[in-house]
Parts: sequence; C-alpha cells; structure tokens
Amino acid sequence: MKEKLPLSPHLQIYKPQITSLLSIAHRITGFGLNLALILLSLWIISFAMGNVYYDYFISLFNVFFVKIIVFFIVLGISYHALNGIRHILWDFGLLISNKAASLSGLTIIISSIVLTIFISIYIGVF
Amino acid sequence: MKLDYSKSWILQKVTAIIFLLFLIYLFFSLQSINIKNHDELLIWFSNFFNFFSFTLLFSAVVIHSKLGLNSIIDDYIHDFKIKKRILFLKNLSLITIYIIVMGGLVKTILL
Repeated sequence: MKEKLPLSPHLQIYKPQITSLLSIAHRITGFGLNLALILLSLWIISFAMGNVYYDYFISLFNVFFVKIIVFFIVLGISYHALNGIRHILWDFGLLISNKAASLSGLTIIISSIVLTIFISIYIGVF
Repeated sequence: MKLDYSKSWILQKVTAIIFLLFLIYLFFSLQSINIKNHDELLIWFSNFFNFFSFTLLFSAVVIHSKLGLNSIIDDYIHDFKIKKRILFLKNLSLITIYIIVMGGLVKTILL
C-alpha cells in the first residue's frame, strides 16, 4: 500500500552524510524562503500603497528582530542559490564523484557563510 | 494542463536560472538609487527594462516556489484528500500574491 511507504528522503534509514544533510538543508531553506517571498510582496504592496505606508515598512528594517530575519533570509538565499548551482552542475554530469560531491558541499557551506556576511554588511543589515 | 514530472523538473531549473540572473541584476541596479525613498523607487520602476526585469524575477520566484512546494507536498503528504486541499490552498495563495503584487505595481506606475 502506497500510504505505508516511508517518507522521502527516508530520514530514519540513512546514516547522515554531508551530501544528504545538504540536500535536506536545500529543502528546508527552499521552504523557508517562502517567507522571503512574503516579505518581497509586502515591500511592493507598501510601495503601491504610497509614501506613508512605504516609509513605515522601511522603518521596520531598523528593528533588531527584523534585521535578524533579513540576515537569515540572506543566508537562506545564498545557500539555496549556491547549492542550486551545484545541483545544476550535477545534472550536467559534473562533480558527481563521492569526493567531488563532499568537497563541493564543504565549499558551498563556507561560500554561503562568506557571501551572507558580505551581503549583510553591503546592504546595511549590521 | 497538468505538467508531467520531467517538464516540471526542467521548468524548476529554468526558473532558478532566470531568478538568479535577474536577482544579481536587480541587486546591483537598485544600489544606484536610494531604495528607502519612494519617489526614487517609482522612477526606477518607471524604466521599462527595470519593470520587465522585476516582473520576470517575480514570476520566476512564484513558479519556482510553486514547483518546489509541490514536490515537498508530494513527498511528505500521503493522504490524497489532504494533499489535494493543501495543493489548492498553496496555489490559491500564490496566485493571490502574484495578482496583488503585480496589480499594485502596474497601478502605481501607470497612475
């Protein structure tokens, strides 16, 4: 019966490895980035509603809690985008050996952290 | 028309590439104005290429999100009735967001 099949990607069966952990993180960040979609929508809606609403929306970004949310959104986008590029490279048959997959995984983790710090400073989150 | 899995897989990759390219463009393009100023942003959006880029980016994001959520729902929800309801609510939410955002943007630029 289909209903009794284990849930994909079979979290309770596989031993954690960098490739599987990054794949799970890709899904979690993808799901979480819907929050960024809502924030992007609110930005445009406040813009469409005029000066007063737009100024109020922009002022929210001075609140520390909102800055933390923006930081995590930037981290999510950086990781999801870089890991997405890695997935596309895999689709073309590149970096698919065990060693290359693990090494590119580590590269993605470090790169996304560096990129997040750079972007956060650049856009004035901190 | 219902997309088959291989077509939706290709569409997910294509929207990801469009999203990434236009995100980079918009990120650097918006640095040239004071984004906190409503009037400057209005002038920025009044430029056809900027408006076109944002429309493409936003469309790609919404489609990419729809397809990504589809595969998560497919993998983790096995009850057909619940799955159908969640998919309906998800599609309705995304379509509503898209219409409100694009409608609001077009109205602001044209009026």
